Amino acid sequence: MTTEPDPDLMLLYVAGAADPEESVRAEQLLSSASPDAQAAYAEALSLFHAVPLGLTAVLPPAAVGDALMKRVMADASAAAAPTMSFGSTSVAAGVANDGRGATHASTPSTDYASRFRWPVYVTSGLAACLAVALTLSVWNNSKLSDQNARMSTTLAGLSAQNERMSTTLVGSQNVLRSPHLTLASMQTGDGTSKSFGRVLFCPVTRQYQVTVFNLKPLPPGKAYELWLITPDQRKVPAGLFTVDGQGTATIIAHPRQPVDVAANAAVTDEPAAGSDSPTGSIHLVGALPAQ
Amino acid sequence: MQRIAERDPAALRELYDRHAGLIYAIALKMLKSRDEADDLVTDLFWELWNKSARYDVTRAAPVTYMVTLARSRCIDRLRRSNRHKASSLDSQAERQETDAPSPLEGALLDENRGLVRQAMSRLDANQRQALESAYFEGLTHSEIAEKLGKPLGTVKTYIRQGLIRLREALRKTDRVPT
Repeated sequence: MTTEPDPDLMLLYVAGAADPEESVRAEQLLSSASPDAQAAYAEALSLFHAVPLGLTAVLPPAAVGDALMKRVMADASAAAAPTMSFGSTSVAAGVANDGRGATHASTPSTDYASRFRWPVYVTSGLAACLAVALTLSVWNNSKLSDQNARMSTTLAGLSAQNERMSTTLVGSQNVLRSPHLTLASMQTGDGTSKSFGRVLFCPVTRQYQVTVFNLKPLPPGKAYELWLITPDQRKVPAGLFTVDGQGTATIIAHPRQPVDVAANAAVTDEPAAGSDSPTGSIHLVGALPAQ
Repeated sequence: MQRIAERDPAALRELYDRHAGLIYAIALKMLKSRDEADDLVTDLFWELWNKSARYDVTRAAPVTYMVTLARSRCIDRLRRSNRHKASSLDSQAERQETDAPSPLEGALLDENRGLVRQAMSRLDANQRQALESAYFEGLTHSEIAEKLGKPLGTVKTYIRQGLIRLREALRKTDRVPT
């Protein structure tokens, strides 16, 4: 049996196209530890796994990444959290101490009770003070818990906002770093508004970065939606966004369906949850460069 | 990947931002279901978060590892949903998951994906279809022959020639170490 490497054999083997006899031969070559055979196998394997790299990237819905990162953050926080409990230990100890003190105070000796009532008063007073302090402590703790919950909610909101901005920033960097960057403009249909938009496109990663200017803020329940329009007029929703006080926003297009070639981009107003096809007014539209 | 192994969520976020689009595209192509593709992407990155120690930087570039893992997990899902017959590729996919070396690492970088796309688009339609059936559907050559209505030997030639032409196209750009 020869142990000469056979690149074509390895190609068939990794692609699942080898006959049983060929598979046996490939495995014998691999088990022979021949560097050439290993290299041929490695090259064939890498070639086979290059096949999906030709696919156009389709960004998953933002909710997928958000849910994943929440799960990851919770996991990381749980792993980092110390095992001590918060507050309850000291409160419990206070109750126990207070309970013990009250018990002693309520079971005085009969002889001492008539002659030396002042210790009872002092103890009772101390117990009352402790009870008030405890009540104040619990009340204060409750307030702190409420405050903590509010801050956690705010923090979660800021964290989600930060993640969205980070995603946009990374996407923008990817687009801007492309040596093949192309630029297109979007204008209003009737030319009566000062609104306009710019589309940066990276033909390698197939990513679009869209920046809009002077768009009016929309009322609650509405959002702007970006559309990529194919040469056969298929309109693919590619992301919802709102604008800041200056009417500006920058987003990375997230087409909900694969778009091999987009001929035009447009922005409409839609319900906040988005639409499968445009239903609102067209605010911006523009032709994209040939891809 | 090292930072992920050190439990750095920001590192996972970076990996996700960089590669989720490709993984999602593979999942959509193989599973043909948006919901299942959503789940697969979540599960895959969760697996990377929890089992990053399985990744060996000396054996594969991160993208190679992730693509291999994605294909393997898609085949698992297809098998579970009875939409896919068990094939000899399944076990091979598992093997690739841990053994994939990276002599073509340069070709697997993001900026080279356009070259791969270009090379794939220049393949003969039959070669491309045979290759895609083998990769994305996990079909054996006999199953591909049945699907395409071509003789077994012809399908093998398609696959072999397709990969050879892909290799030649990538080598011409000096992107592939020889």
